[in-house]
Amino acid sequence: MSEHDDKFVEALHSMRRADEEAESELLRQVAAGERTADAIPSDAIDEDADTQALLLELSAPADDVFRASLADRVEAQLHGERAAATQSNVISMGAFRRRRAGAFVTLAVAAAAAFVVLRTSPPEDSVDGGDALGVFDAATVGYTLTVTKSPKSSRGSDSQPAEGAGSGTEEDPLALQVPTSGEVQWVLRPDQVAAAAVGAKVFVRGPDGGLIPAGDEITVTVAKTGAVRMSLQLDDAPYVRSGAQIDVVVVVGDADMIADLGDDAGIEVIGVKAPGAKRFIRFSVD
Amino acid sequence: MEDITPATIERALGGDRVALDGLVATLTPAIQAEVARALVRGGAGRGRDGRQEVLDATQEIFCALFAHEGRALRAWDPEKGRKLVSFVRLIAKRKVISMLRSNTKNPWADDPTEHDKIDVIAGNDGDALHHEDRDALSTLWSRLKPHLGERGVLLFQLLFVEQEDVEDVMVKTDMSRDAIYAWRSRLRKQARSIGQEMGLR
Repeated sequence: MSEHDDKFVEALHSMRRADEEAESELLRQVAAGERTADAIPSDAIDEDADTQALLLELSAPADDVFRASLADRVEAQLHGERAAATQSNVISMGAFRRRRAGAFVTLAVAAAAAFVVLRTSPPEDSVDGGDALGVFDAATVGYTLTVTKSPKSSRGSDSQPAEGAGSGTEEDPLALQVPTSGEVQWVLRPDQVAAAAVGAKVFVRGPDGGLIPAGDEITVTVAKTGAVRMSLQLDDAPYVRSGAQIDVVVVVGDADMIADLGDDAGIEVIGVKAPGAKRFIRFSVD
Repeated sequence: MEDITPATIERALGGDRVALDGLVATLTPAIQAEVARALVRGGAGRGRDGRQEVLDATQEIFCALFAHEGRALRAWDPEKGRKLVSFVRLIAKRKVISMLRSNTKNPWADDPTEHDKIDVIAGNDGDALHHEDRDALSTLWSRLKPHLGERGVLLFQLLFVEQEDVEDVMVKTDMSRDAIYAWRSRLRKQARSIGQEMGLR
């Protein structure tokens, strides 16, 4: 390509950047409520009317509740990070860090933490509102848990390898067995906020794909805006290892009900929606 | 739009709820718009859950900005010439594309707040034409050029390469203002159309 053509390529780049900026700015104005969608010329964003309509629809202003939830969630996140920095025994579920033989090993946990809806038997009861679910709605629950990353690695007793884990090395992480703890937080949807009495139980998906109750010292707090903060101590388990992919299933429900989960056949877990999942998945836990 | 300064960000990170609310009000629409663009341009966002996907991703990206005690936001330096909204827009764009590529909504799957990436975004280099983009745009130009004809190439050069005013172009080409506007629009559309054919975002 000649130097002459190079200038045209640079110009194309500038043109596309300008187009993108203009499009983003128009959509931002719509999202900010500074301009209504019908005030946008029909081909200002895209020649394809359907595409433009979709872009404008998706950019419709978020309501005040959403924005308040955002601020609350960030506030909880910042609070969690500050707490994690000062509490020696709390580490992140997003990136478990291990101290072993004087070195840190990052355990990247794809914490497919999930929201599970509970209901009491009989199973044919309606899922929506009213019953033991309270305001939980199977059709809408499933907010992604925000998995916080602690700036500090675990220390104290949590950071020590469990007994019997001595055969593992960083190159051979499969043998690492260490107790871990973590903190997760998420925000309930506005229609779930009233369910302030929330309990939690944590399961991890074991190597055979089944759900295994896990976690101890679980505490849950729910702010009036719906921000949920939970800390827990994961059990020492062989599948909690460096590089492991662990599905952490968080069961949320009425605090009284959830205490007996797994022991009480009267409570049935009816579904879960993981952060990356598109659909609400139904399943049961005995 | 509220005038956000680094001091505002520090107050928000320090627990000032009013400052935080101001950031939410200012940044959320920009993030939302970028997410919507990326989802739609990436072929997603259609279907009944499109709106929810946009809000979910907006929420995750917003939280990612504040992760590590606001490391990404703290990297913004107005002295480098980029406004905060533009800075956040670039982060959001990279983030949502990363999320689409990794086919996950997990904002931590590919942390966009790594220092090197933030540095690029914070500085003018965020606008630079990088190697892979240059290759793609070179191809785009080689495909576009045959469609333009002699006059089209001349007008492209005057309007987009030399960036001359329409009045000057009118004099140099002996064309009317309306004709030049029409050409400018046509050139943009042709470039965009070929870019879309090539799958350029």
